[in-house]
Amino acid sequence: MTTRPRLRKLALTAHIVSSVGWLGAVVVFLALGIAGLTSQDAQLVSAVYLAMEPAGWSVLVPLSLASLITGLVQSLGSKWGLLRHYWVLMKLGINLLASVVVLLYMQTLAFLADVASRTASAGGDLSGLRSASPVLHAGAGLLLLLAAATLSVYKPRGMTRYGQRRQHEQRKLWSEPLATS
Amino acid sequence: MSDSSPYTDARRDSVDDVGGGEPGRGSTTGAPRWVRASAIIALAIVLMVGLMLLLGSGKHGPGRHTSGDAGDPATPTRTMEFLTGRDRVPTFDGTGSGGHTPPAGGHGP
Repeated sequence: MTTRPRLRKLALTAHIVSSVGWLGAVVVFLALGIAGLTSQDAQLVSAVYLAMEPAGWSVLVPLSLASLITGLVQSLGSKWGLLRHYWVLMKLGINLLASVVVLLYMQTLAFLADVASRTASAGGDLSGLRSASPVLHAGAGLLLLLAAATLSVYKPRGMTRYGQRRQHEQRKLWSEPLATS
Repeated sequence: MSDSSPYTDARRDSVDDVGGGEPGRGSTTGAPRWVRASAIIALAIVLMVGLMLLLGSGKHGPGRHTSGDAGDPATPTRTMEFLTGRDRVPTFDGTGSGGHTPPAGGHGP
């Protein structure tokens, strides 16, 4: 299944924009996580954890799903395919894993926001709220997304068994008309 | 990318960019070295994270990483109370005020 060049360019643009946007959002979350962990300003710490949840729902989750969907469209609509090349397969795995982790992690962000909100309104000490969790998750996510971006650019060679079989079938199809003519 | 094949477009940039595109080079049987190396690294990371979770009493999720008694995501108020120093311990009289409950007869005139 292949799509028209214009449509494919549009899908590719959407995939790049959503993926790069997701990567940028993760970098912002990493910066927020570091600020929440290290800042001495209680208001800033509270604001960081309060902002993470709505930002996660409005930025991280939509961009991760957009990257996944546009990636699927892009691969299925081109000759690269989804399961033919190891680098595409690996990118799919990274994207799926990161998207699932983002969705699951929203529960933690909601918890942190709730604790920050209650502690701040009660005028409590926020030192116990400081968590390394957002930094760890954002750092791991950033590494994964950088790996996916590197795979996209370098496209290391290597075809799956399925890809080799499909290539063999296509070569047979191309050579048959030549042999008969 | 070109219309007919991903390989032609990749060749235009660099032959080395081709993912298994060159006959006889990418079409070897079995996974290439970089795939095997990545699989080993991924497996090592999964094992390491699994081990860390096991050593950390298997808890993972909301509240695990915060200090204080934040282990139960369903009751965030417990963390707040811990943080604000207003921890309440259930008492026998059911008031739930713990240490703030005056002992029976203690404050009487």
